Amino acid sequence: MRIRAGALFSLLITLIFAWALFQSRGWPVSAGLFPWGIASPGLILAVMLLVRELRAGTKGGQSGPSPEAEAATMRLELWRTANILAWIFAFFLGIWMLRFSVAIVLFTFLYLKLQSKDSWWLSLLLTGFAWAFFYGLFVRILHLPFSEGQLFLWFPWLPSLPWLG
Amino acid sequence: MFEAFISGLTQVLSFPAFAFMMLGMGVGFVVGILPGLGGATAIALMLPFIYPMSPVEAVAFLLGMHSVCATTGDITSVLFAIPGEPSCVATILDGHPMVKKGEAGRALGAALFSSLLGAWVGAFTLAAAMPIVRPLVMAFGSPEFFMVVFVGIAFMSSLGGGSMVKAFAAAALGLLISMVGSSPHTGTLRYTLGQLYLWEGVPLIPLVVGLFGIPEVVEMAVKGTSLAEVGPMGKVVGVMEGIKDTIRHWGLVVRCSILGALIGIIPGLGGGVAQFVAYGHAVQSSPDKERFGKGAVEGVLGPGAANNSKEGGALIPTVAFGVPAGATMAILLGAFLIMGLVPGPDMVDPEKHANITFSMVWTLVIANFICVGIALLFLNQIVKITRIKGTILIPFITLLIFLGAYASENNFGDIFSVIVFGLLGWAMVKWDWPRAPLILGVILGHLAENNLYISTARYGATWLGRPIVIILIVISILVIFYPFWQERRRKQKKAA
Repeated sequence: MRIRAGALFSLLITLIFAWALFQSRGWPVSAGLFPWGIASPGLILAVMLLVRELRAGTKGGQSGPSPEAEAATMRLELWRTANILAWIFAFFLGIWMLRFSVAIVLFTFLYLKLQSKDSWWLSLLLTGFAWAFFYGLFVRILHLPFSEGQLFLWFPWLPSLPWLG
Repeated sequence: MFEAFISGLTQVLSFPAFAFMMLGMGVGFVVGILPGLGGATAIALMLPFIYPMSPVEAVAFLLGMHSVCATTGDITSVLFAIPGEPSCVATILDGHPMVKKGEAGRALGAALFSSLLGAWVGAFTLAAAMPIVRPLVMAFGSPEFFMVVFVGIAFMSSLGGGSMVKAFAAAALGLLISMVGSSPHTGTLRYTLGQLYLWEGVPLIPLVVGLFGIPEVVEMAVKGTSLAEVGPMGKVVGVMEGIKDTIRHWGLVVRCSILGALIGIIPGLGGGVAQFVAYGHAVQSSPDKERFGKGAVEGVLGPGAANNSKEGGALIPTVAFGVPAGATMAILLGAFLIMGLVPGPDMVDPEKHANITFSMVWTLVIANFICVGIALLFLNQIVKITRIKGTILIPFITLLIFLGAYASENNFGDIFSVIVFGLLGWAMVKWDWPRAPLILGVILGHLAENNLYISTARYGATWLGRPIVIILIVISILVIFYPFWQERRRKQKKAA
């Protein structure tokens, strides 16, 4: 039986509600009343959805091959989705490892140059604008404290480029 | 009440509230005109910036942004048949054919000016509703406010379109998320996964920013084109003729504005329904129905007016009862709570925060007036913004998402939350789970639990027998079963 990805998401939601009910089993009534009252119907609804998704997968899963063009579009969509999620995760890692200011410069420039395939001058100009926006608003005006990147804490001898913000 | 009405005006016109309104309008202008960027996402991204603002400044900023989105969204609907906002689809039906007939300026003039008049009708509907709604709100106690949360969830889940089961499950998930942290009544730690970060609950800003912002970025990357996806077009002329059309058909504009405001009041219906109901009315009330769909100016005036008037209507349940009319209102409600503005009696009490509610009225009036004026003056230049490649915007929106999430509490954990809820939001969009009920559940969960606790402690089980509670239970049941009844009627008609 072919399981649709939507069914996996419904399964995840079902497991969340089941776990929520399980976790709340030892709580006093005042703390547990609302969770029980919400997680119980939530679990029932999630199970209903899961069953519906699994049955839809059983009925529709073997209905002949998609046209080539549709399959190619789906593959392109999947690739672009995975690509952008990877960029977002890389940005998150960059913030954690290198700190905000460095990550912003690297992410903006690399995305514009490598992914968007913009020209050097446009990529540099927009990267400069992004950094100026970050520095001007968040550092100079809002005075937000930004911690050092994890890499520079592990290896203090690395130059951390403090002038970036 | 009159003093609060005037106080609202003076507060909006004062500095820095007026400056924040102009700033919000600028953001809303760009977001509204760019297809692919939603008003709800823009408000979500701006939430972190309202912390240093006073309530009136925050209201002027956010509402100024939100109220012009629907106005400028009509521009790309008319010119390129691409709705700048989801609530601007109906404008395409006759607006774009007018462009093909060489009447682009007339269509834009009609859309923008009818939007302005619609916004004013919506704003004054909100103002007029306050003294009427006040006695009703004052009759509400903890049991009634607890039930109102469920009425709101019932409305949004069953009338919002899509799978009702998914909507209710999403709402339950939102309510569950709101319970993370220490129980307000016993201090019991609930669903904290052993993390100190979660002891005070899931922070709202990273959740909202991730849930709405990340899917938007993914969608833009998947589309991978310029936002308008069309070739160059010539200069736009004939705008004055469209403005004259709005005045000539003032009756239609007023009727559609009132329709939009009334539909805006009902949670779950929103702009999608208001615009098409108004379009349908415009067709019905015309002596020559054949012209519609081929460039009839009335087909632009009706949806244009309703699209904006619904905003004033939507604020009524949001402010008075804490029941947001849609996803954007749910996020705005979150903003009000951040500002310490609790919806309910205080928001309609002239001695307390009625002036803030009236400042919302004046923001809708003034922001749309300025926005339409600027749009009409600089129409040709504004159209060029839609040529921007979507991939150029992606890094800026992404950094705004992460910076916005971090800025609220200066906690790195918030950035991790953005990733988690961003993935959740993406999955929900991918597999057609509505996000509005989830947000509603998160925002109203605390209020619902507190009111349940107070109701149970004060009244025992007898609160279930209070007259307004019973009425609200009946309304919830009717709303939940309404789609099934509608479906049954449709099948019966088909069989006949």
